[in-house]
Amino acid sequence: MNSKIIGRIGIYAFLAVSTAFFLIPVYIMVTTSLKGMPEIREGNIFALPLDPNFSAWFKAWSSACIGMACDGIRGGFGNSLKIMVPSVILSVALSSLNGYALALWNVRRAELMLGLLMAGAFIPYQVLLYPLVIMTRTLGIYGTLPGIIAIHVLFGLPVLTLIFRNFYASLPTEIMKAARVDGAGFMQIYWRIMLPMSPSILVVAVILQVTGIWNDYLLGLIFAGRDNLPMTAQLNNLVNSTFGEKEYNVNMAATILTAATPLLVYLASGRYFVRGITSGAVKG
Amino acid sequence: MLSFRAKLPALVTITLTTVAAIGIMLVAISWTGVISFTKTQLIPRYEFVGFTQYVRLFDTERFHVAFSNLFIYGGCFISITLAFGFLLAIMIDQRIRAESLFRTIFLYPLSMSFIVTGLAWQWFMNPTLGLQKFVRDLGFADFSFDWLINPDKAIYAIVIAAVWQSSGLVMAILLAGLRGIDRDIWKATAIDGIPAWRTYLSIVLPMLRPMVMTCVVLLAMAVVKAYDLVVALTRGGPGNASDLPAKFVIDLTFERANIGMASAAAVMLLMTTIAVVAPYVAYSFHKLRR
Amino acid sequence: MKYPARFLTGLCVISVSLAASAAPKEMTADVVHWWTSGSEAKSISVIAKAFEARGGGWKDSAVVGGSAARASAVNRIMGGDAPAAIQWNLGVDLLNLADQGMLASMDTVARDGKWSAVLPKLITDKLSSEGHIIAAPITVHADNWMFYNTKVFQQLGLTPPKTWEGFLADAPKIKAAGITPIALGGQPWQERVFFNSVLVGVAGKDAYRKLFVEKNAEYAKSEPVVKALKTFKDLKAFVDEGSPGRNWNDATNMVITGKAAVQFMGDWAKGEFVAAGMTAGKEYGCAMAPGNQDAYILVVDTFAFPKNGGDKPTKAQVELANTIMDPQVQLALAKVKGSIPARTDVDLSSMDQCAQLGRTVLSKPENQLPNFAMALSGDMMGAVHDALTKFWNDKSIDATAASNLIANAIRQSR
Repeated sequence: MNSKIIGRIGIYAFLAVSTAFFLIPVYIMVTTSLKGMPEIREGNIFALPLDPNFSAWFKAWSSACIGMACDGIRGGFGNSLKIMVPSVILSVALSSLNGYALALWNVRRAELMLGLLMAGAFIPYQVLLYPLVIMTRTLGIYGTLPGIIAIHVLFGLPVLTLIFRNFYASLPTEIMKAARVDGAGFMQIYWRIMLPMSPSILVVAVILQVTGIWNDYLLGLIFAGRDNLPMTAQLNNLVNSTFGEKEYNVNMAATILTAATPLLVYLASGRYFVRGITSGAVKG
Repeated sequence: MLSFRAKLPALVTITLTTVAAIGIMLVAISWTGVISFTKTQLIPRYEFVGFTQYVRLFDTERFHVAFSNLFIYGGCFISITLAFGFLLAIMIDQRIRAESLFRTIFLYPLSMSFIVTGLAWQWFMNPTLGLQKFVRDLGFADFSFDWLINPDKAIYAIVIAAVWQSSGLVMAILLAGLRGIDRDIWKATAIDGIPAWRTYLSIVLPMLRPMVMTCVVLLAMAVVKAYDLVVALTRGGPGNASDLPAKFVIDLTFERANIGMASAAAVMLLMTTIAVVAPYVAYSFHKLRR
Repeated sequence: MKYPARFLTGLCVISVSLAASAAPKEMTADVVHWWTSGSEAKSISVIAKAFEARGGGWKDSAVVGGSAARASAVNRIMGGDAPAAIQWNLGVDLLNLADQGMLASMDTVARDGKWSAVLPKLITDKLSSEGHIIAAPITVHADNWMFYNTKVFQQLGLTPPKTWEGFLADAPKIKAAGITPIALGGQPWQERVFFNSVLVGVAGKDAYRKLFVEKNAEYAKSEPVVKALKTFKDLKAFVDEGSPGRNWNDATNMVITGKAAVQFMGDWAKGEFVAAGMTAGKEYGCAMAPGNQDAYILVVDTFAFPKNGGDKPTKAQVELANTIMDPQVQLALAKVKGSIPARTDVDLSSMDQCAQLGRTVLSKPENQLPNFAMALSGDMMGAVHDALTKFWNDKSIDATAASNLIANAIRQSR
């Protein structure tokens, strides 16, 4: 019996150490963001704030300077929203329709297309970026909101289509047959039968896209244009531009603010979140 | 069967989405390939120079650093994350208290962007600000944790941050796998007197193979695309010691305006990716057909 | 509306851009620049305010980091969303832009303003592409300055170094006193600025010219250059370990607060001392870097004007160019930025001793050396940066190996 107790202690010790590992960066960010600069200069990074206050948070949100503009990162928050909402709606809508068409309409060469889509999910962005810059320039949408949205839809399409295709392919074929006998068409079946059956997979897709697009840095930096820079890009600018002394409390507060949206999505969505991320693994 | 007329909306949908997306990607890839054989610097100039850009690429020290880092980073990151994630899954599977709390804590980094992850760890690992300063202030003057600024170690600093971000994912996937395993094997192995760790390694792990494959693929994708994390954590430094191909390509494209050579490097990155994931895609494709 | 997105994001633009709303649209200038440190932000607002006083509307497009800003500008020009003006260092890449037909010709403005009469010849030469004036120069900096904390040197009974050997002898004493001898931001371009001071100080101006003006790759392996590389690496012992990745102004801040003794950096660093309320000759001192007393590695900040529709500059661009060339603006800007005005007819008597020293050194043509932006293509600059930063950061590479890396970098990108 003794060895069992030792085993339990070992398990909890391991879990405790792991928990510390996972929490340390956030602990540092939260405590530092609540300190004032003198305290940061004098004290150590692990100490709790003596006089916790949110002034660094307010500064990070609305008055920290990036270049001449001293508006904090709230502009980035708005930009990220403006990029994210249409991108998510468009990519999920198109992909679900697409997955449904590929799964249930006996299209020739569907497997080949799926194989290519799967390959598309793996292509490093770097191989596509420069030609995409030229293409969007030619269309006149480079550095604009429609431009970055189009790019997000393009890069979201392969994985989302596969998720939806696999979901619709797993439904009993009788449903389709019955609907066809009733004379329903492509869109009718989609609206009346398929969509009402897919709320869970829709949630998964939306979560995957919301976190993915919010956390994107590279695409936003290149395609969004200077008026629409997403929050991650503004955060990186903020942290790397200093005036006199580096204000660690403001930087860390800005970082927390940037992470807040996906973190809330994660906490609210529970296991859907994991399902979303893992469906990205292209289950064959 | 379905008439062409009935199928038409489906075909239109697929053409406008799948075919268009595949088309754009193929065109873009070929375009990059073509540019890699030209003299293009700031704007496209289709003056073909054969393999000149590739020759120069292979003669460039930084290219070799970036690619060998890709393998160091990929190897360490994937193996450590798998091992650590598997351990976490096993521990959580021991009917512990507050299971969901632990799960939440181990998984939350996954929701963070690499920029946030990079910044968070940058502060912790910064020798004049973070852990090293803290321990030295405690009186251990010789303590050193300088991975971030040590050219030989900087790439491992990136591994730490990446492991932090992704272990929870492996934990979640493998935990789901563990829960799906028949509990009876534990009775069976207990009767045979096989120790638990051996059961995990030689019986359970092989049963989890599909989940492990999923993890490896997910992690490998993250490795090839690793850019943001490097930018936020080390900016590829010190020097170019922690450079990775993705960053090398972006720097050459957008900062150096040497797009010909950047395209050559991108093509090399694509070939590496293909070599790594082609077996998996072929395997899944094969399964799809059946 | 050519860009529907502009319309959609109108709300946001209003909240982001400062005071852009007052001026009529044709007088509004969208300016891309990378002046984002404290003193730099003050400098840009000198121009912005003067421009607004002339009836213009300033739309600020600051991008952190020179290379990122330049990339953003080029992409916007190519994307048909050309800004009204872009900040650029005078040199090879700017001429390339003009050769590609991206820049408006400022000939009329230059003729009306008699620019050629008031600018140094070296600048006017580099300002013209195929006979056209392509940019308006605003300030002149030198890469090879040295800024030091006078209190630190007084307390330790030391004098600011005149030679690199002298500095290597004094540096251990500074370090022993618990002060970082050299404040360095460990980014490739800063390491290069530092190295060039060492190169000129140890191997001489001709070595710099042979290597980076004539691009003589083989010369990198010569004995003087290898000696300079050795000296450079010897100095590494006197840099603190927090250096990698640090911004230049964070390094300047170390000298301001007395945590470090000296920074080898261009005189934009002076702007940070000024912004901190310090006076040259009192709390901080300035001098050319050791052994650089008769050398001025020239950096010229200009604003170039991308074509906005036609070959001719727009009304806003003309007015902005006139603003930039206004002697009063140049003087006011030089005071906050730490530079000296590009115009030679501006009276410097109201400026500090650093500015006076700078103009004296600059006035002799044989002292003038072009900096990297002026002499090297972006491609070659990047390749040399890679080689230098590899050498600086990697213990296993000695000076001889480094000279090979540099020779290789120059040869490949020539």
